[in-house]
Amino acid sequence: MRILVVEDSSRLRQVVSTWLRRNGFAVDVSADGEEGLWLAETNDYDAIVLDIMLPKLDGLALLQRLRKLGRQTHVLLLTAKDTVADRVNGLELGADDYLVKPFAIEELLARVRALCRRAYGSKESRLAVADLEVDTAARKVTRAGKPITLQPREYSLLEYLARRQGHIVTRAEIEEHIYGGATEFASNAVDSAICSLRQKISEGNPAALIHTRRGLGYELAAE
Amino acid sequence: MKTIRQQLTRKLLLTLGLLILGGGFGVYAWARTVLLNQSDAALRAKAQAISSLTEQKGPRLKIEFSDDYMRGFQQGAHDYFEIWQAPDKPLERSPSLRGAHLPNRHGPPDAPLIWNLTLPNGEPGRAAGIAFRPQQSQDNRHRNIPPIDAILVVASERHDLDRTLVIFQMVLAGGGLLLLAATIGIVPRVLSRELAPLRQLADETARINATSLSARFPAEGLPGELAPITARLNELLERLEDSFARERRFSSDVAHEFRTPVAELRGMAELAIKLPDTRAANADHETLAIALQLEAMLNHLLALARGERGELAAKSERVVVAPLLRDVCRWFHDKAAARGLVVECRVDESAATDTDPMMLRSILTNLLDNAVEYAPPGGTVEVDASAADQRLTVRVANAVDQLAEADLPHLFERFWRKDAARSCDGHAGLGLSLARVFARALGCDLTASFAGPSRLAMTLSTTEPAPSKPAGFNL
Repeated sequence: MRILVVEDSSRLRQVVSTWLRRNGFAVDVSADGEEGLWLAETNDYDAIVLDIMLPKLDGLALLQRLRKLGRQTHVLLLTAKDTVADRVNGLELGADDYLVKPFAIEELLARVRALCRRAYGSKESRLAVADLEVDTAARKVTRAGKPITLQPREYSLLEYLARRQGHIVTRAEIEEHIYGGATEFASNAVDSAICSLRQKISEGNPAALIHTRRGLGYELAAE
Repeated sequence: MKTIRQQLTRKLLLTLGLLILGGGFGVYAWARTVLLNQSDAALRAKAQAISSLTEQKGPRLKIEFSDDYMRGFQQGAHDYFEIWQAPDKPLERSPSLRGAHLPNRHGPPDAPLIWNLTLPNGEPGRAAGIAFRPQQSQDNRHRNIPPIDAILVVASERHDLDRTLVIFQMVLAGGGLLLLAATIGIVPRVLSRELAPLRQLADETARINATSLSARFPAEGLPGELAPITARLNELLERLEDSFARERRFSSDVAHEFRTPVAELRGMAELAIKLPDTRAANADHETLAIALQLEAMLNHLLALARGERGELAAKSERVVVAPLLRDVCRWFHDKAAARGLVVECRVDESAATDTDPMMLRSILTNLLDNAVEYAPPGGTVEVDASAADQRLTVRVANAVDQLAEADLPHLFERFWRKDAARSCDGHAGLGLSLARVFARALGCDLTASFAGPSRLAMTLSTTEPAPSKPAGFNL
């Protein structure tokens, strides 16, 4: 899942991005509204964590422009403004959720995950493909009832494939959503991650679930 | 609780009731006097007629009544008379007396004695008595016979008079009662209608509370007495609403400015607990920086509160302005250079004044900080200072690109920022308000004005001699 965090406090930006990355999200960060809007326009994020008080362009104006451009990316407003009027205003301008500072980072994570689920049109936290189950709330994976231990990025890759099960996911999409379009990762990182994931989920049952569609990408499916 | 309407109603009813009662008595007394005068005039006319019919013939008196005239004095009639030749010598009386006598009382001919009496038949009556000298017969005048004085008392029953007075009393009492009833019915209604604006004003005033300060009293169609009251109340409400809004904004701003550093502290602590390996090497420095930021904000707020309560005590000592101002300008040199700004400091070397050096330094620091922080890059920040006759003037001018004339009054408001798009850059928006509070404690005024197109000038100037109180507050 790829998240954009727009927050002018460098400390908070660091805390939120570190916390999200360590929980398997690909995170882009921005310290001001103009750059944040540019990133939101040019990338396909699963959710945006957006501060309201920002230099150059405030968060609400950013949100309005984003919606005018037709971008429906789910937005979590993160702000020190806590009145009912502020919340109502933010939600009416197109925000999907609102979190008041100071906040618990666990709550932030839960809300970001909920927004990501909604991004794929699902309210369910359990995804199943054949005997493979992904509990997105507990971030646990089982196959034929046996738990499978995954690294955060492997888990994110599996959850992404599970959310798009039955659809072919291109390598570029995986790079963008799981690795955040970072240029430093190796060119075969996606292949390596897919290979590692295949090995781990086949421990409980050798039947292949991740299929390579040559020239197209990968698909998580029962057959 | 007594209301004006109740008191007015009670007093008006009492007053009108007394007026009606007094008026009734007055009218009755006047009517009774008129009727009695008419009755007395009739009695006097009868006495006059009888006396004119009395003639002295020789040593005797003789009365020549016509039958028509005597009809009113016959038995069963209601008029009576009796004539005495001397006080103890009755001469003649009317048949209506049936042999009884009238009291022998009298006055002179031109002022008959008139009184109420009980007639011999037991009925109430009214009598007129006069002493007169009957006319002499022709014969007596030739014979030169001495005249005889006579006494005449004429009386009439006063049934008709008393009945008329009783009917008049009843009419007056009935009319008075009707008038009183009408008054009782009308006065409260009239008062209620006429005092409606007052009641409406009271109701609207009672409805005002902290959540309805935007309400205003109607200014149109009010009585002249209430118009100035509502005008003042509306002004008061406006000031109160402004004050409440300012307080709410202040509370909200305080909470807002504290939330971000607290969120930083909490986030950093939670992250360090959950993911110890992510703890940055400079985490303690960051924590200290946040603590110092919070402390500075608290100190500013406390100083503002003390200043607004008039509890800031300024020292007074001789301060040479030039070195202090140059020191402050030097402090901002690097920050200004980083933003492409040049700070030009022009100060009269001999300028000196009696003031509190720490407060003055704090004011100048805030002004320079504000100028260097918000001036568009590439310009000049001009600092001019002079002092003459114990009056200090410092002017800090810089270019501004977003400020409008309407923003000037807000510059000194706590937490005020021009733009909603702002950052947590360590500027909470307290500096200028604090500078103004310090300026006032030093007997100075701190004002903002435009020194030209898009050029803001902040001017600190002495308005009164420097105070000489002992220092009571450390910055």
